[in-house]
Amino acid sequence: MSSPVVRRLWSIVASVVLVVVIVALQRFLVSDQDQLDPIATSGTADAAVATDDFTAEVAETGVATALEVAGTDGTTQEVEANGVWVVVWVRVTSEHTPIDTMYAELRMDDDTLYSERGWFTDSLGRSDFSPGITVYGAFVFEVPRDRLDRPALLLTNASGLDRRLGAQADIDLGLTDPAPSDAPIALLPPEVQMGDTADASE
Amino acid sequence: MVTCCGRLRMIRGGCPLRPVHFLLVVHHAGTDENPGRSLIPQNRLARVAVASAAAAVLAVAIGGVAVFGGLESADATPRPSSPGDEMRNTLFALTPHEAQLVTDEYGFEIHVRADVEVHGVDEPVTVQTVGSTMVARVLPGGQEIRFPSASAVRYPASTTFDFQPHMRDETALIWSVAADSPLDDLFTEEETAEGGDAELFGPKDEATEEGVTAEDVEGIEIRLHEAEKIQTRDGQDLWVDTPVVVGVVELSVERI
Repeated sequence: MSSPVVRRLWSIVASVVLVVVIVALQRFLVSDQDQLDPIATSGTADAAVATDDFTAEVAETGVATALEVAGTDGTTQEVEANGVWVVVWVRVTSEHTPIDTMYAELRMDDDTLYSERGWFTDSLGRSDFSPGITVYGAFVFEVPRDRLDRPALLLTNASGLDRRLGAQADIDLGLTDPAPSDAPIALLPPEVQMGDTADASE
Repeated sequence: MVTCCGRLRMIRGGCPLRPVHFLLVVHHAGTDENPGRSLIPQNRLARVAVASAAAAVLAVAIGGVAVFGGLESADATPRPSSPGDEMRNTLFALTPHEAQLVTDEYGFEIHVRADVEVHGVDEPVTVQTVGSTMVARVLPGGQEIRFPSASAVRYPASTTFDFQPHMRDETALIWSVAADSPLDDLFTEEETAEGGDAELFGPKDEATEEGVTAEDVEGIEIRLHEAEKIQTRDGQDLWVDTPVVVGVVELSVERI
């Protein structure tokens, strides 16, 4: 029979080992938040990205220091950027249910997130999307010039303002030259595009 | 084991390896059997000497603290900063510049032109979160007004919902005070006494409650609180204010 001291040592060592094992196993737990993250479909600006709820196709990305927006009484107004305006023109088609809130973010290479500016009535962020009807318009972001680095557009169907488990398109914009143009970008209101013919005739 | 469980050691704290034995022994080991184990001396004169020495040390300590300015509570309010000075908590920096008083038929608004820069996180922070870490009061009455909305100075038609990370933005923070809730007419006196529309719109702030009018307002005081990140039960991050005040500013209002 081993002495009580040795037995006690063994139990201490066994306890320490078990605690370490428990802590190590904790690393494999998925946090509640991660379990409910949006379900992302990745893609690039070259092709349409199809998620479970909608399809998004980036048409063009513009970077400028000024934005020309509609003012009151049909006039236009220029708004200077606090950094640069990043205007992403997208075609969005809902697949099967109306989408009332499309949550748009711009993610930089270092994972810094910028949300849609939300100021402009003509932004696609104010649109809703009915199934099968393609809407073409622009999401507007404002980013400090030195932070604009390989941006990706994140679109999330946030029905009821809840993004948990929402369908998400993660689109690399492939912006090679982030230098802003001095000419202002005109922000035009979203338009409905019913197939290619309507696009050409109007 | 035998040496470990000698009686004197028992009284001081027992043998770490044999607790059962310890209990049995300590049962009949009274303090009177072990004189001299106490820190207090038996000799009366020695006791007086120890007490006097302790009193002297305590007096010197208190005197020293008093000489060096006394104690200050940990959450002491910092001295008011001037307009244009930056105040910062761990989430964002606020630089207030000037305040304007705007009156309309519903009451009045205090517009504070300020720079806001989020530096604590790499994602947008809602105006509501930023506003909830500030406490604003109208001067000279000191009534609290709650939750500003925000609008861009560059584009006054806008309503700002988020402050973007690492971007210093010139903002109008707007505190509205309703002169009288227009919906109060819909309630009987009894209902109003019970809170009226509070259930729908939340409790009224102090300024509304006490009927502060635009004429009473000469300035605004903004206290910026420290912010800390907590986790909600479903694992989401939430920034809330703490009682610690990191900056105070008083701005006099310009009437327009």
